[in-house]
Parts: sequence; structure tokens; C-alpha cells
Amino acid sequence: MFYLIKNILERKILPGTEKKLIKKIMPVSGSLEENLTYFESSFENCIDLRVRKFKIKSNNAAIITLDGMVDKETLAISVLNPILKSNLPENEQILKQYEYMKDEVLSTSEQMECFNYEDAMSSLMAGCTLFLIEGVPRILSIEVQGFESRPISEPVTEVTQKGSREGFVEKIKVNITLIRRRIKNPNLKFERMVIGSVSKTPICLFYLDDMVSPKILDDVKKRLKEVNLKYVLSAEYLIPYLEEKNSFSLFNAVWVSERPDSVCGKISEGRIGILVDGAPNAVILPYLFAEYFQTMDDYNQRPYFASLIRILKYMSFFISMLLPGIYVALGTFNPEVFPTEVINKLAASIGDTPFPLLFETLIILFIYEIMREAGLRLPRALGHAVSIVGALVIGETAVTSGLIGAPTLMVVALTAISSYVIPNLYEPVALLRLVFAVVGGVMGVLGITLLFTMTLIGVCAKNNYGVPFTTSISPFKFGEMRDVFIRAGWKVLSRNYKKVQNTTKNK
Amino acid sequence: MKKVSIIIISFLLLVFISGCMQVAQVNEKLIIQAMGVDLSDEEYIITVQALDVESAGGKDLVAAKKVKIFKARGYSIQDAMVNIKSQSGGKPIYSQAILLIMGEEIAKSGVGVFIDFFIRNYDFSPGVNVLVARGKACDILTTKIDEKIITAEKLASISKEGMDANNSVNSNMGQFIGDVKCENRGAIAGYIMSEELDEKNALVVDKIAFFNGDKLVGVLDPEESKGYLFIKGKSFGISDLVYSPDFLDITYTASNSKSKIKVYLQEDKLSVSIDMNVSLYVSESNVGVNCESDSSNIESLVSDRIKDLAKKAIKKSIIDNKTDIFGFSCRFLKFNFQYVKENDLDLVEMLQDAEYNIKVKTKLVSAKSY
Amino acid sequence: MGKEYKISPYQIFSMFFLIHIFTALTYSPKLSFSKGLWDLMLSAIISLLLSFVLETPSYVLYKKYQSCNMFSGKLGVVYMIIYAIYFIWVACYVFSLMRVFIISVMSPETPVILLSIFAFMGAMYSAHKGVHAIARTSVMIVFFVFLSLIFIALSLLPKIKTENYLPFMSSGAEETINGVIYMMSRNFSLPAIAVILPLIEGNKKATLTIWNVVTHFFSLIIIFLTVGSLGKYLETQIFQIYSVTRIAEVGVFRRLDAVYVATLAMGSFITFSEFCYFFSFVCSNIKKQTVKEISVLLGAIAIFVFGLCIPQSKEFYYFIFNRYILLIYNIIAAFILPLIFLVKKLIIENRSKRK
Repeated sequence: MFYLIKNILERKILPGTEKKLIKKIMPVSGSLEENLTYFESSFENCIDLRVRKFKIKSNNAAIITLDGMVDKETLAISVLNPILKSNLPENEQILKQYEYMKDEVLSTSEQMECFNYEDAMSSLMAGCTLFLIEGVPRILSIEVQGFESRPISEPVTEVTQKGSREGFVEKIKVNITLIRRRIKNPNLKFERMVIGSVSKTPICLFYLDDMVSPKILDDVKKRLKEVNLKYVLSAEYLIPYLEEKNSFSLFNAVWVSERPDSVCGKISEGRIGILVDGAPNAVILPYLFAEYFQTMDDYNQRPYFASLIRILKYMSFFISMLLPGIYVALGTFNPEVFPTEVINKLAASIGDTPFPLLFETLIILFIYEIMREAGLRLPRALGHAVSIVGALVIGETAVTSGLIGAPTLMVVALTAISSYVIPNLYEPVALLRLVFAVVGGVMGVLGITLLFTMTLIGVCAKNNYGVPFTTSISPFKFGEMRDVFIRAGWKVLSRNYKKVQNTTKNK
Repeated sequence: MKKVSIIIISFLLLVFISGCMQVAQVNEKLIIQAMGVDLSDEEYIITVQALDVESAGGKDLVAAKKVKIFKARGYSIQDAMVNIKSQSGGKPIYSQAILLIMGEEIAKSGVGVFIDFFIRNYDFSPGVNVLVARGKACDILTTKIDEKIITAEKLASISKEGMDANNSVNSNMGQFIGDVKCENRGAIAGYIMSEELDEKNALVVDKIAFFNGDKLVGVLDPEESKGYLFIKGKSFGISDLVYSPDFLDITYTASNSKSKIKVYLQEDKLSVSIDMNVSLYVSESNVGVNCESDSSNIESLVSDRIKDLAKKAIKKSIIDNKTDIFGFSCRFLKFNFQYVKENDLDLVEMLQDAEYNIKVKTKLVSAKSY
Repeated sequence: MGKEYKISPYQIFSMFFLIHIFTALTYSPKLSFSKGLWDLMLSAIISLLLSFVLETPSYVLYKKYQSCNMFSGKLGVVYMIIYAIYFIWVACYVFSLMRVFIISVMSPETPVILLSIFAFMGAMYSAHKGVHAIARTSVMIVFFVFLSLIFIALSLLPKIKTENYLPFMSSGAEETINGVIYMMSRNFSLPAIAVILPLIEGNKKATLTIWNVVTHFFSLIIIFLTVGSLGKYLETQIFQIYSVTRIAEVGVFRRLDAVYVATLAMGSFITFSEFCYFFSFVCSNIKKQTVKEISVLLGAIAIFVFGLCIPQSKEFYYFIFNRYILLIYNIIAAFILPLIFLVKKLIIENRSKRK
């Protein structure tokens, strides 16, 4: 869908819209009435616009806010009260009086002068208060934001046993502080951009200046400027623009994380992060295949245990992807691989059910996916009903009635459990295991081997910003094996901090 | 270009579905565990023991081990198997086969005629056990013990037990066919027979059938089989009874043995030197025998006995039937290949006139009780 | 295709090792008109030495003239045609041999044509992705292959019987010579080295030496285990190494021939993809943009069609893939053409120095 929109916009701009694209920047008027009229007409039929007119000595002034976006107490104490009780020099020009108020009266920490309506509008929409005064062709934007936002809580999708319980929230400023608190280094840069022609969503690019590759940074900025979306409502909207052009791949080249600690770990390796206002996660790029198997818990546990879990994750990945396909292939075409006792049981189970093995496996996989999706969407109060229905319908009744075989059910159950070991890979694995099951049922072990090799080739062909997606594994780097299949101790890991862009390029 | 390739791939996906059209599920196949081959009136009789899949479901482990027997005639093995396929309604799978039994008659007439079926069929593993049946193979495969047909697994373990008891050998297809094709070595296989003890059937594998070329020429009796195993150095666990005028009888068990064989030419005549080192222990003896003080006598007795067994085995196979089952010819050939080739020697014939020097050194390791 | 990527030494080792895996695992004395496999031990050692000789002109050429392009100029057109035909020819051989293996050994219930179409599509996809994708994948596959082959080798060790080993050249030197011709005719990596050497960075000498020694050592191990395990029985089999894996077992792990089949399938697929890529790499020197772009498709279609048609006639199959013809073509592509180019370059250099 995004490609379609993008292509249309790239190829042709519809006639008549050229004027709309070239926006006129209107300077702020010196007349208070004119300014107020502009804002009132822009926010016509909006119930949240608040205009408070008042007089400062003999001068007309006003503050404009959006209801619910400002902290009214701070507004009253730090803005209105000082202004109204200020001792303005009466004989001075209005501009000088304005300057006096701006520099010596107001007790807010952040304020910005806007010289055009667009900047003023952006500030107002961001939750700032606009201060206007008759005769001054400027608008003072004062940061007294106080809209309700979710408090910092534990991330939902990336759960750890040990380690931080803080996760990103929707407010970009809070997210910035979460990162800044962890890397107290002036080399940590935050660059602001605005994306979305209508939503004007603020985003923030962050990186470590002494670690990041300037080439990759420029590339990312260029791609972000090419984003031609109207609305950017979550970080995932940016992903297609950040990946390589025209590359369809099941695996993401960028990572979206809810954890500030993980994100800080990644940018310390020279990666670039993107925060999107309104999204409780950060985008990190470039992302490598081996990192799907790394979690924060690995670095909080002892190395031997972390290594064991790491190997378990790789095994789970292969089980969740290949097991149904191999089971169907061997059961249908190459049963000689099984020991005699197993083949006996398998044959008996297939004989008891009306469907071929492939069909049976696909049915159970689909039923499982339906249950999983239903479990996600159901309200919590009804959630336990899904597990009861699932256990009764599939676990008990289907097997007892002879519609589904017990070995097949066991295989799919094991597949499902294994896929939850690496939740980030659930999407590609869910699709791949269906494809492998079909190929296994149609072409046997040979088909699975060929498809597996093709999948490997597809993964190995992927490059992100010049960095091979399968780097560390292939192109093989022995030194980096310390954190791929095993997790070496901190003494080893801290020897040479690797930069992701220093992996061998073009190999 | 992308749209075209997507359309082509979608079309091909439909074509790929045809890959599963002719597939028979595993329960629709005939999973063969053992095969028996007999000859009768110039026709092959094939007896097949297959898994009874229908009764294998559920938790009943006994039912899981039930087998079905199919029997068919044919002018060739393939012909007979086609008949079995039509009887059973399932495509035969040979990959789970663990046993091949040949009837005595067909073994005597020559295995070369029918063995080609098993060689060409890649499903048949070279690790399949090969046995020769006394009488007919179908009798062995249809033997009932406690009202149940003996399974191939049980038969294979009996032949393995025979090996452990060291009265027989565990010969597999690869080894058997390799020996049949070898000009200088005779093939061997376990000899299985059914005995009736107290109105109950029992299957015993305690003899060795040996082949000259592809024809069965003789069977080593239990004593000769032991002699063969001592010569080959595979006598671990062999038990034997030794008679002596002084002690009456002692049963010994060999715990370890090594055998060094040298074959060399001495004045145009072959000499075979066999040095055996056998460790043994007395497992049974008469009351009153003091094994510790009489150990040298016991060792000497056992040495003579082993020598005797070895001579019997050599006489039966090489001298009487011109079949070298011990590999003496191959040993000589390995180091004197050019000489044999140049002089066009018939090594097996030379072995018939060869001089055999058998030395046995025994050591009583443990008497177990005093 | 995109820009050309540099291949590191271990990647090239993996790529060529997989080509060799395919040829080693399908050694068949019956197809080479030999009796037994044992004398191929000596043949492997001789073949190792000859391989060093054959790869020398390519190595010297690219060491001396790193940025030279064999396919430029009028002579380059001839070179292009010869190499392009060679890669198609060899890929057809691999494709058809794999089909023969599947049909005769596995007798699959799936129509073989379907498997062939799937393999063809996959190879086209792989070649289109480029050499870097194939190279990286090869590294991963080689790791799996090594593990599985070590597993099989360890399981076969207890089954070795020393009486199966006869003296070398017991049937005469003819067997050894036949074996050398057979091995050299199937050493498809040598001409590929001549083409792809410019893309390799790193220590080329060490890479080629290690690759040569390891692959031939690997062949020796295979032959040693195969002959020791099954002896005379092997004379009855076409694909002897497959037969020996059928008796390999370690505890509950039986029928390790499934591992063999998977290894062979991966090896053949990568080999097939590589040659498809090499064909398109050679064609990329053609100036016409359209030919360059569709060279992968053209090459894959040619391989598919010829690979299906040639085995239909047994006589034609044995003629077109005759070991002598393959050997001569190998020597021309691996040794003679790079040597001519090297001599030409040296002459030109000498002339310019005199001037």
C-alpha cells in the first residue's frame, strides 16, 4: 500500500495540487485581533481551543492554549501570575516591554519565539501556550505541557527476568530522558525531524557521534526525508522507507524495541535510533539476523547459562520453522527414517484419521493460528475461555473423535511453544512453517532441503546500509562469535567494542 | 516483470500440488520386517512378515508388536512381490526390513539367481541380517510361540543371542554378498532351525551355514562353529564342556581371545600358523575340583579342546568342502598378490593340502568359586 | 545483478568445497568404467598434484595482472563463448546426474519433473541474488555438511574390516589411470577459479592450496571408509557412497542415508546455482544490456532443458558427458586459456618495455 502511494506521488503529481504543495509561510501580524482571528478560524468548530484575553497595563494581550494539553497550574503560577503582576516599564515601546516580559518576568524554563503562523501552530499542537501581545509581530511559545500520558511501565512484549523494568512511553521527551539517563555522554546526539504532511509527527534521530558511521547516518536522514506519508501514527510506518528499496524479505532489517536498555546497548555499537512521538518504542537500524536471538536477559545472567539459552533459541527457531515440514515429509515420503516402533504408531494414527498427514497438519496449524489471534483480541475476562475451548476442542475432542492424530497434534504443539521462545521471529516463522509443511507434503525431504537452501540464500543476500544481514555468521568473524551462538563473559565482551559498520562490506 | 513472475509462480504453485496426488500414506503401505525365500517346483515362494498397523494404535504395547504374514508364488522374486502387493493392497516398503531367511533348498541351488532383487532394490539396507533356515524359510517365519507368530525383531534378537552365545555369527547382507562375490572367501550365515521341546516350539541359531560361491555346501555343527569363532578371535562368551578322566567335566567360558593368523609359503606348500590367546573362567565344575591348584591342568585341557574344535572346523570347511571361510586365502593374497597372479595359483586347493599349526595359550582368569 | 562483491578466502573455499562434495559423494566406478573404488585413493593423490598444475596459470595471471579481464577484446569473445558453454555443460551434468540419482535410488512418489522445476527456479533465484548470497550461504551449509559427514564417518569406523583392503593396483595401473581421468574430468572448480579469481580478496595462494588439499583429503577419507565397510558388495552398487551410509548407525540414529541425501541435495543445488551464476557472470561482459539482464534466466532455462533432454538417450548421455571430453574441456578452460592470455599479456608487456 505504501509502495503504491509512494509510486503515485513519485511518478506524477496530480494537476491542480501543485499549489497546495507549495505552502505559503505567513508571518505573524502585529495586530492581536488579526492573530486571534487566524487561530480561531483555523480551529473553527474545535471545542478544545482556549483563548484568554487580558490586559497588561494598557496593552491588550492573550494566551492561546489547547484544552487538556497544558498544565493549568503551571500556566497560572509561572505565566499568567508573573505577567499580570509584573512591573512593566510604562514609557517603553511595546516591543521592549515584550522583551522585558520574555526575559525577566516569565519563570518558565523553555520558551521560543515564533515569527510565522506555521511555527506557532506546531508549538500550539505540541502542547505549548502561545502568548500574544498587541503591536508585537511575534508569538511567544511557552512550554507548559501537561497532557495526560501513560506512566513508565514494564514493556509488554520484551519481558526479562532480571534487568530494568522501564519501557518506552508515548511521550517522546520522556523517551529521550530514558535514553539520556543511561548514556551520560555529550556524544549522544538527538536530532529532531518532523514526518507526516498532515500529522506532523515529531521524530527524533539519536546516535553516538563517535561510534556512528557518517555514511549510514546520511543515508538514514535521506530516507527519512523521502517519507511522503500524510499520517505517521506509529514507528512501524517508517519501516518500509528505512529498508532497502524493492527488497521483499520476511525478516526485518530494522528493529523495533520497547526497552531503553536494549536500545542503548545497540547504539553503543554504532547504530542509529529513531523515536516517534506517540509510539512507545524505538526503531534501531541496521539490524542483524543474529540479534533476533539476543535479549537483555542474556547479559544479566551467567555466561554458561546465557550460552545454553542462546543455543536453545537457535534450536527452537529451527524446530518452529522446520518441524511440521519434516514431520510431513518423512511421514509421507520417507518413513524409513523412523524407528519401527514409531512408524507403527504413526501409521496407526494416520490410519485412524480420515485426512492425509499434510492436510491434518495444515488444519491444526490454522486452528492454532485462529486461537492465538482470538486470544490476543479477546478482553482479558474472556481470555481463559479461549484456553478451555482450545484444550477441549482440540486437545481432547478432536483426537478422541479420530479427526486429528495425536502425533500430529504433539508436533504442532511443540512447534507452537518453540515459536514463542523468539517472539520477534514469530511472523516470518509462522509463514515459513506453513510453506515448509506444504513443500514437505508435496515434494518430501528433497523439497524441504531445496526450500531451506533458498531461504538461506534469501537471508544471506540481504544487506542493510552496506552491512550484510547475516554478518558475524556469514561473513564469518571468529571474534564476533563471542556473542552469537554463545555469550562470552564480560571480560571478553568488553575487550573490543564492535561497530556494526566495520563488518566486512561487500562480502 | 515482477507481475509476470508472480503470475508464473502462482501457476506453478498449482502445478506443484500435483506432487501429492499419487502419494500413498504410510498406513496404506506394506511395512515389511522380514522376508523368507524358498524354492518349490522351480517357483519362488516368498513369505513376508509385515507390521500389522491396524492393531498398533493405542497404548497396548502387545498389540503394537503384531505382525501379518503374506505368502505368494512367482517365477521371480519381483513376480511374487507383485502377488503379495495385490494380496495385501499396500505398496511394499523394504526399508524397515531387518531379516532375510533363505530356505535350505534354494541356498543349495544357488543364491546368485535371486539375490539380485535385494541388491538392486536400494530400499533394502546392506545391514539386513541373513539367515539360512533348516527346511523352509516360511516355516520359520510362521512359527508360533505361545500362540503368537514370532516377530522379525524376536528372530533377529535370537540370531544375535546366538552370536553372543557364540555358536553362530551375525551376518548381514553386505558382508554376505561381498563374500559370495569374492573368489577366495566363502560366505557364511547363521543357520536357524525350529525344535520342539515339551510340545513347544523353540528356534535355535547355533550353527553356521557356509557357501562355496553362491551355493550352500555345508553346515558347521555347534562344536565346529565354536572352532570357527576361536580361529576368528570372536570367542567372547563361548561356553564349552571339557571332559577329563580326573575331573569328569568342567564348563569354561571364554572371556577374551585374540587370534594371530599367518599364512606363508614353505617349499611350495602353504603353511597356516594360528596363535590363539584365550582368557577363560570356569563357570561350572564338579564338586571337589580345586580350580586354583589345578589351574594349569585346566588350562592345558581347555587348550587341547580348543585345538580340537579348530581342527574340526578347518576339516569340515576347507578340507571336506573346499571352502575357505576363515579368510586364509585373502591374507596370503594381500601380501603375495603378484606371486599368486603370476603363478595362477588356486589358493583354496592349496589350503586343502596346507599344514596347519595351531597353538593355543589359555589363561584361567577367574575360578569364580573355590 | 548489481555490483560485483568481493569474496573472502573462506567463502570461496566453501563454494568450491560444495562443488567437490557433490562430485565426491557421487563417485561411481561403474560410471567411470572401473571395477573398484580402492584404487581411487591413488588417483586422488595424483589428482591433487595435477590440480596444482592446472590452477597455476590462473593464479600467476591474476597475481601479476590483478585488474585484467580475460573477456575483453576480440579474443575475449571467444573466451566468453567457451566458458559460457562450459558452465552450461557442467551444470547440465550436475542436474542430470542428480536426476539419475533421484530416479534410480530414491524412486520418489513425487514426479521428478516437479523437483526439477523447483530446483531450476531456486537456482535461478540464487543466481539472481548474486555471488555474495551464494558465498555466504555456502559457508553456513559447509558447516552443516562437515558436522553430518563427521557423524557418518564416526559411525562407520566400527564397521571397517581390514580384509576388505586389497593391495593398491591389484587389478593393474589401468584402474588408477581411469580414476585420475575420472576425477580430473569432474574437477569443475578449476575453470571456475580461472573466471572468479579476480573477485577473491585475501591470500589466494593459501586459499587454493588449502582447498585443494582438504577436498582431496576428504575424498581419501570417503574412499577409505566406503571400501573398508562394504568391500566387495560395492561392486554391485552404482552410488557406492550412498550404499555405505545406509549401514551407518550410532545408537538410536539409524538410516543416516537421509543425511547423505540432504547433503547431496544442498551440494547439488549450490553447485547448480553457482554455475548458473558463473554463466551470467561471463555473459555480463557482453555490452548489450538486455542480454546481461536476462542472462540468468537464459542460462537456467538452457540448463533445465538440456538437463532434461540429454538423459532421455543413454548413448547420447554417455557421449556428451564422456569423461575424456569433460577432461579435455576442463584442461582447456582451466589451463590452456588462462595460459594463452598470460603469454599474450607477457608479450605485450615485453614489447612495451622495449619501446
